[in-house]
Formats: sequence, structure tokens, C-alpha cells
Amino acid sequence: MSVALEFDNFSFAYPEGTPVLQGVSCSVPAGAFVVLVGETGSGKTTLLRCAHPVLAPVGTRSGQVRVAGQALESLGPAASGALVGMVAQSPENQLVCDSVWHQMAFGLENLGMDPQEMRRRVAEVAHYFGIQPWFHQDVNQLSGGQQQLLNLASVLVMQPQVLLLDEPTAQLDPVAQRNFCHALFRLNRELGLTVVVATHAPQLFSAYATQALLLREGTVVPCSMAAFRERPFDVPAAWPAPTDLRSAVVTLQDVHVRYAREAPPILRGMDLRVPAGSICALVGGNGSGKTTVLNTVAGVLKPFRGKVANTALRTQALLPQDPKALFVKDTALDELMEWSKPCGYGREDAQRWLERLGLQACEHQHPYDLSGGQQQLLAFAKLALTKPGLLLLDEPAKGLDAHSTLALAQLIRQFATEGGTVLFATHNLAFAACVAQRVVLLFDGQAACEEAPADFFRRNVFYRPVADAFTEAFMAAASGGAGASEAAEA
Amino acid sequence: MDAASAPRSAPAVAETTLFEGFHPAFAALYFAAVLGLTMCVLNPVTVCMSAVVGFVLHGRLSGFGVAGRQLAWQVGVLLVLTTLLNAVLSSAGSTVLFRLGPFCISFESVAFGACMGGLLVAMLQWFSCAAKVLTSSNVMALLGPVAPNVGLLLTMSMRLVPQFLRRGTRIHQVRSACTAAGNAPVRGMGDRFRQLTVLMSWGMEDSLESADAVRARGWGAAKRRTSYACRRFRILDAAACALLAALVALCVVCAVAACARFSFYPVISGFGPAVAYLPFAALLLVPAVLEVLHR
Repeated sequence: MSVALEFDNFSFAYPEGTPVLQGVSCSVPAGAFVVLVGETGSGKTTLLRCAHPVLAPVGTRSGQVRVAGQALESLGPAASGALVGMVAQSPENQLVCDSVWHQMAFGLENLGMDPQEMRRRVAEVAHYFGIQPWFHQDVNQLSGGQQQLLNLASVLVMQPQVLLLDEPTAQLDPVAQRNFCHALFRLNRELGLTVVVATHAPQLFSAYATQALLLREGTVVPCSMAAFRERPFDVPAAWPAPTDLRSAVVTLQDVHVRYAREAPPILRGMDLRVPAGSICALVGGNGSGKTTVLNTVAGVLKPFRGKVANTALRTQALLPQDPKALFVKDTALDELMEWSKPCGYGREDAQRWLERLGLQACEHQHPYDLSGGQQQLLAFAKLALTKPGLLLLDEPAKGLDAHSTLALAQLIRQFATEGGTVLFATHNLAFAACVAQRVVLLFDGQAACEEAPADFFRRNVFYRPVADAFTEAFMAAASGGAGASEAAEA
Repeated sequence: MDAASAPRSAPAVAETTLFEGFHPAFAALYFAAVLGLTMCVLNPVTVCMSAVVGFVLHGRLSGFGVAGRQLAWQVGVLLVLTTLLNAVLSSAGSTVLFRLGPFCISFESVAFGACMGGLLVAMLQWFSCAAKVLTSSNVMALLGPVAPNVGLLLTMSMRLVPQFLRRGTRIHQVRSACTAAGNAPVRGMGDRFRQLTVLMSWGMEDSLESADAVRARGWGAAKRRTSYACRRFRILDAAACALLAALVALCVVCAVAACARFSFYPVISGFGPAVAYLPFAALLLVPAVLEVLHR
């Protein structure tokens, strides 16, 4: 088999009529590592799903899709998994079994395989990924990176020839992202699997990919990988740091927090001081306690030792990791109007916010029908409308594309300029570098250091941000703004 | 990953090493036998033995702190309640202790109530032990070859129900933390209902992704699903189960012939020969034997 996946003048339109793909013609040779890039809403997910025997969406289609030389229509559920494997974005939602061993054997059980043969395949794949130490663990005890590796392993155990991945690293922390990319690289080079990855962060794959495809206006054009090489990012030093003379909104002194009596403490002597009107970023590895700090400041968790002082306890707002925890209503506008009575704002304010975020077209859509980035922005608008004094954001830039990340960065800065205080936790070092005035590194339950972003990242040797589409857009916007203010002064 | 719930900690130490030397079918048979015999035989001697051994085993499996706390409320509430209720409501019994208005409290009715309470306590202790030993993996090993779809239903429930509850907690915490909207403390049924709506919508939305993941792994490809066996049923397991079955049969015979002839009313009598209680005692001591064998 020399061609793993082939689109032959393929067009697809959803039942509502909007054509998504128009005359897509490309072929992926066997053993290639393809990175598929494109803007949000350009149809990357649709393209990948149309290549899958079972997950192909309902709609009007024309043209041919061939997988390993066979027409897609001729493949049945047995080929789903056994020929083409699919790994989606959310690590948690793809896990349906409660233990790791069962999740791995799930696909083989579906195929009605003999238990002896099942045991052999599971042993092989578990050994390849090093899953043996956590083979009998509960699935919710795994970290996000381990969960996504488990998803990959549970697809590989069925021995597919083509792997389709839809933004697999979007919700992982940087270390887990690298591990996952490296695992894909090994699969591609050592085992000759054809890998097609749709992603917003092609820099991660730049060292491994053999081919890049750009999806634009419904067609696929090849593009060069050279544009996506990783470059270090020079942190701008323009944002003034707050002086300590201002009163502190949040003070944590020697705070020790644990989730249960028998559990080990997550925070062990945490100190933090957030001055009024400043933007403070919490960075740190997976499980270092960033979310715990936010919950403690919000009053959700009580420390068993130490003092927490939050002057904005009655005027705060918390944005959770998954914005769906905030959505109650059936349309985006109703969502923004939910707290209008206690907070005293009207319909016009809500609509103005929608326009600001570019969501006015989605006014009457259900919040769940919006894309991940749009949901995040909608949740932010909902909180901002309540005019809080303190904003607590948990991974606000998670899974956002460059355009939405830039919009969020500008909104947060404007909020601080108008006098609000912001404390956010993030894995995205570039986002923290561009937006924050102070960066706090969490390690071993304590604040390892607290500095201005420029100083913090300059002194770091290993823990540094990488230039990507967001940083380019941010620097372009910043220099454009600086140019405009210079022109105004002149 | 819901962050406000307990973070990913190290897995609990396997305290069920007592029964891990054998296939889960052995443990399932054992607990079914002990529970069945305890429930069906209303005899103070058997109830007493069962309750004591049940508590000791529970303490061994979960720690005596936890077991002691549960025993305290079980004895304090259930035992006392059943004794009082039966003493007051039952008018049979020949040895009258005292009269309380229209009620006649007799020794036999107090003893009967205490015995019933003791039986409830014993059952609860043994149920706790069974829940600790028969983990979801063990139940899967039992159901897998027999009813693979039921096993799958069980494993998916074990995954999705706790996730559902964790999310509910998270939603509650987030909404009560957004104090700028006048949300804390969360009040009233309207708020609770709204949170439940959020939970259901969120669950259903994510279920689409889960369903896609299931279909992407070949769901419906084969007419009959097979089951991955972590543990095979070997000759030794079969021999142990056969021995256990024989012991259980002996217990049943003794129970029918002697122990179940016990009566409380009108006079406490019918203890039967001491030999009749030995098979049941032996059955209760099987975990102790296993512990000695393991050392």
C-alpha cells in the first residue's frame, strides 16, 4: 500500500446547506506524518471525520475518499479501529471504562477477539508505552497526559494502519504535550504508521512532521513546514510592574491546604500577595497546585493552617477550567442576561459585549453549539458583566486558537486598566509572559519565586515560552498600538 | 479533570490480599453463603458469631477506626431501635419484666428484638466486607465470560456515575464562588434545580464525544462481545470452590436440622447440640485460615 489516504475531488456540505469542503484533492502516502493546519471553523475536524468509516458525518457529499486503496463506503464497523484509528481532543471524555486495563481491551472486546489473542495484543502495546506500572489503576487517577496516552494505546491495540488525531494536545500541559508528540513520532518512524494530526500548534510537530497541509476556504493546499519551526520568544518588558505600596487584594500567609483528612497537603506554606489593579499569573507543572490556590482564594477550600485574606470576597468571579460549568440558559444572549437583575445591567450591555467578542452572530445559538474558544470568551463575558473586583481565571487560554487568545489577552489587560485585579493560572507560558505583570512559579506546594515576566523568563534556562501564532499576533497588535499612540503624540 | 475534587493520589494499598490467592468466584461464593446463612437463620448463637467475625474482618480490611465508627452507629441506632420496637409492640412472651401503660414488656420480646438487631448489624458488616473484596474488577472477572454486556454496563456506570457526582460538586462550587453576581450562599430550590439542569446538559453534551469514542473503537463489529480475563479459573480455584461448596452444604443441613429450630416464644428454647454450630463457625473462620496460609 503506497497511498494511505486519498481525497479525490471530495466535497461535503452539512444538511443545513453550508458547504464545508469544496473539491478537496490530496493524497497522503503511507508512512507519512502529516500536520493539518487551518483557522478555527475551516473544517479540519470535518475533513478528518470524513476519512473515518464510522464517524463520517451526515450530509451531502460528492467525490471519493479512499483509505488504503479501499473506498470508504465499502468499509464497515470492523474497519473502524482495525484500519483507521481516531483520537479526539478531550482526554477525559473518550474514556468509558473505569480501569486502565479494561479501556485498553475495550476495542478488542468489541471485535469479538479470542481472550488469548487479546491478552497478547494488550501486553504488546502496554509494554511499548510503558503502561505496565499503572495497568490496574482507576482511570480518574491518571493525569491528563496519561489519559491521552491511554486513548492512543486503546486505539493502537486494534492495529490500525492510519491514525487520525483531532487536536490531541490542546488540553494537555506542555510536558505531556511533548511526551505525546514523541509517542506519535515513534509510532510513525518505528512502526511505519501513517499519522494525520489536525492542530493549532504546528510548532510542536515541526521536528517530526514530513508534510504539512493547509485547509483554507474548503480546499487543501500543501504548505512548507519551515514556517512552523520553533523559535524562542523574547518577552516584552513594556507592561509596568505594580508597586508594593498599593493595598493587597489577596494575601495568603503560610497556607497549607489538603483535600481530605488522609490526603497529603497540596499547598505547604504558600505565600502570595496580589496588589489591587494588577495581573498575577500562576505557573507551574501539572499537579503543582495552581487550581488549589485559586480555589483557596475564592473561599471554596479552607486551609488547615495559615491565613487567607481576600478583600474582594464578595465581589469576585471564578472562571473554571471547563466553562460549561457556568452555562445554564439556551441561548448565548440569555446566558449573559442570567445575572442582569442582581448586577443591574441591561440587554444593551450584554449585546455590546457580544459585539466586542465578535459573537453577535451567535446571539441566538445554544452555548454548547459554539466552538471551545467561543465558549471560553462567552463565559468570560458573563463574568465581566457582573463587574467583579477580582477575577480568578483557571486556564483561560486552554484550547484557544491564536485569534481568541489575543482577544482574551486584550480583555484581561483592559479589565486591569479599569481597576480590577486578575489572578490566573496557566500552562501557556507565552500567554503569561504577554499578559501578566507578576509571575509566580509554584513548586512543591510553595511559591518558588515571584517576579516580573521579563525577569522571570530571562533568568530561566529551561522553562521558557516559545513563539507561536499568538505571540506574533500579540506583538503585531502591541506595535500597531504603540505606532498609533506615537502618531497621536506627534 | 475536575480540580476541586480530590487530586489524583496514589492508588489505595490492596488490603484485600486475603482473597487474592483465589479467583473472585471463590470470594463471591463465600460472601453469598455467609450472608445467606446469616439472614435465614435466626438464632442468637449464629447471629452473635456472625456479627463478631464480620466486625473483625471489616476492621482487618478497612481499618478498625472506620469499622468501629460504623459499628457504633449501627449498634447505637439499629440494635437499640429494633430491641425497643419489638419489646413494645410484641405481646407474646411468658417472662414479664414490667408493664408500661398498655404495653407489656417481656424478656422474650426483648431478646427477639435484640437478635433481629444483631442480625441487621451482622449483615451490614458482611456487606461492607463484600464490597471491599468484590471490587469492580473482580465483578467484571465474574460477569465477563457469562454476560459481557452486563459487565460493560457495570464498568461504564462505575466510570460515569462518580464523574457525574464530581461535576455536580464542581458546578456548585463555581457558582457559589461567583459572589459578584450575588451568588453566595447558594439558596433555595430554584438554584439547586438550575445546577441540576447544568449538570444534565453538560453530561449529555460530553456523552456525544464518548459515544464517538466508543464507535471509533469498533462498536458493533462483532455479534457477540468477548471479555478480557485478567484472571483465569484454574484447577486450584475449582478445588477450593468445591471444598467451600461442601462446607456450605454441611452448614445448610445443620441449620435446617438444628439451628433453625430455635424459638423465642413462648419460652426461649431449642438451642440444639453444640456440634450443629461447628460447621458455621468453620465457615466464618475461612478468612482467618486464609490469613494463616498466606504468611
